[in-house]
Amino acid sequence: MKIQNINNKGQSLVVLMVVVVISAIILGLGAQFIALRIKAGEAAKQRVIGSYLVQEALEVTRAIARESWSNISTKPETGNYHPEYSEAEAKWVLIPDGTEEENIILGADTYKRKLIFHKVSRVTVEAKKGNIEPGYIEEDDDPSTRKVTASVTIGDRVFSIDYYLTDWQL
Amino acid sequence: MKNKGFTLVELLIYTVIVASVGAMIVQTLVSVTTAQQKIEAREIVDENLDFALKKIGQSIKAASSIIGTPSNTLTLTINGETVEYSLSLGILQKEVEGVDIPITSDKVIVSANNGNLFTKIDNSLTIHTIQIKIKVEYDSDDLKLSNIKSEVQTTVGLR
Repeated sequence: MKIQNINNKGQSLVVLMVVVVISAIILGLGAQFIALRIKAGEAAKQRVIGSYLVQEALEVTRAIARESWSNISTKPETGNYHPEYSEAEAKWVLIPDGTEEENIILGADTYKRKLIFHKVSRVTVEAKKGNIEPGYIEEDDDPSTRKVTASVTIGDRVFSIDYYLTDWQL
Repeated sequence: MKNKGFTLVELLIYTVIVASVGAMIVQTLVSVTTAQQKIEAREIVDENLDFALKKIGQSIKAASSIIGTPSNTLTLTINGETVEYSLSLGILQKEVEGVDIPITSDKVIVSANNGNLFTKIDNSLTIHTIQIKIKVEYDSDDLKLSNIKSEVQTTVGLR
């Protein structure tokens, strides 16, 4: 009986230690899950803001193209641009940035935005005539169409969209 | 006698361990609850922001004319009806023919971000865009929750 009692006391401490270890594991996993959800929430916020900044870039580019197609058609394929309100002209203009990008500070976050203009060529063979070619071919250049890539970057996340503008459908 | 002394030491160790584990569990539960509240607040802020911007965007695209910017009020004409977006005590409202419809919930505070909420920018007499600069904050007395906010700018053009 005596030996049995001592064994039971020893067991209760071991059981307690096991409970502590299991609790620690469960709490650790719970904390990790919460941390993941917070990270996902932050990513969702950046996705919402990023998509609206991309939309702004496209809407402004569209307005500038509607004002005059040459505002878009003469843009070289190399170099980044960003839309900006010109106080002097009281309208939207496109500012060349070279290899730099526009910095937009919203709260504690800095978003980087850029616009790139690409030439577009169209298929000339009868069966698929008028379709946009996947890769640009100079002989089939369509001066009435430009592809615009608008992208917004925050950290390692990139929100990007390709958009076709034509001078007959703006 | 030996057994009684051993029981007392064991009780002390047991008490210390239980107290430590208990404190750890309480601390973790408090952290988890706060984190959960922050996650919910973040979702509410972003849902309200996204919904408000989508509604305003749809109205601008459907509008034939715009008056009253730059300001925190945007008045549009859509299919002959007057539609007005304005701020009232931190809630964004849409007024259609005199009837107010709240666009954002009372769990958030909406305000202009850096200037006016709506600014009309024209690239010609017929090309109009509206720039929207909006800030949505979670409405709470708790500092940990009240600093949850989203700020964004976007632009929508009239079609």
